[in-house]
Amino acid sequence: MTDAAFETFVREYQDMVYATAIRLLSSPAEAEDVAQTVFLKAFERFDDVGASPAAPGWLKTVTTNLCLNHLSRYRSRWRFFSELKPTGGAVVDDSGLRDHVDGLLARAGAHVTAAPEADLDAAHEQARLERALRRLPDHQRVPIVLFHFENKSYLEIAALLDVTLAKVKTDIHRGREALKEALVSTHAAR
Amino acid sequence: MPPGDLEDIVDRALKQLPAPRAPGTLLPRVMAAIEAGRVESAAARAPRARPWVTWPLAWQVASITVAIALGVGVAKLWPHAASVAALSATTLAGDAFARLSAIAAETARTAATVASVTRIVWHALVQPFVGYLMVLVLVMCAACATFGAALGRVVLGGVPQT
Repeated sequence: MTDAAFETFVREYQDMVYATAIRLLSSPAEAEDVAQTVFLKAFERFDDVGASPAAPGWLKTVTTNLCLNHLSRYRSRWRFFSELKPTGGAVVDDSGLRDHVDGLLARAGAHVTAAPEADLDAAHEQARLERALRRLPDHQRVPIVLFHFENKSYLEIAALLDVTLAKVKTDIHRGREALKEALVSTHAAR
Repeated sequence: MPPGDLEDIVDRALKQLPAPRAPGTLLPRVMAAIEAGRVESAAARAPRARPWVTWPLAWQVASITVAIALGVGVAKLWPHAASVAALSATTLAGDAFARLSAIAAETARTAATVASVTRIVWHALVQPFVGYLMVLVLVMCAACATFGAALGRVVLGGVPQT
């Protein structure tokens, strides 16, 4: 194994790993930490994982598990020491979100076609939805991300989070309602 | 709105979101961490390459013991060094074997003396405190375990740390 081969591997999958982590954690700094840990684990097993067609699946599984572990372990500790009210509200680091939203708008501006206003509207809608998603409390955002982005079933999510199936369904439904409001307010603002 | 419609609407909207891109700092961080891990593991493999103060306690004690034994041994053997040098010049002489045997016997006696001195130093200076040291270590371990368990229960609500 060479460093160049591993560097190519990281370049290929870093966006996928980071996207999974940032949506589960909603914190750019924590997502970068987790992504780094994922790739260090991949490095340890690079002879097995590197050229395997199962690499993306393996990376996603490790990322998801590390994020859930991170949420259950470190956030409770941080909340205790910072005396944050334990309402389950997500801790949102807006710096990364602002960068992402700026990126969305910049990309829309760079791809101005016959209908530039439509492009900008779509970018605004996506930015608002991304913001709404990251501001959901952990217990709603995590199952929603697992269901809609990671294609997990309700049962799989319940097993992963160690909660009941009913709670998963309720949390996902409430999260979707909150996201719908973000979508509706975007359309109403037009 | 029926739950199925809501699921479809949200699913479509979320799937259209572009994936966030990894920051440019991620790749350098990963490669730097790998390099740091290599350096760390190399250092761990060769503890003698590290500063003495970072050696494990057992290594430190062993090294001090060896250094004392060597010092005492050199001091004891030094008077014989000259005779050994003179003897080496006359090794081919007829009685060389007998002289070498005598010196070997003397060396063995010296080594036995050094061992006795080391044993006496151990019994007189170190051994009396070993019991107290062990008790202190056990008490500190018990205190740390109690404190850790209490902290885990209060702070983490019993979340397993594995």
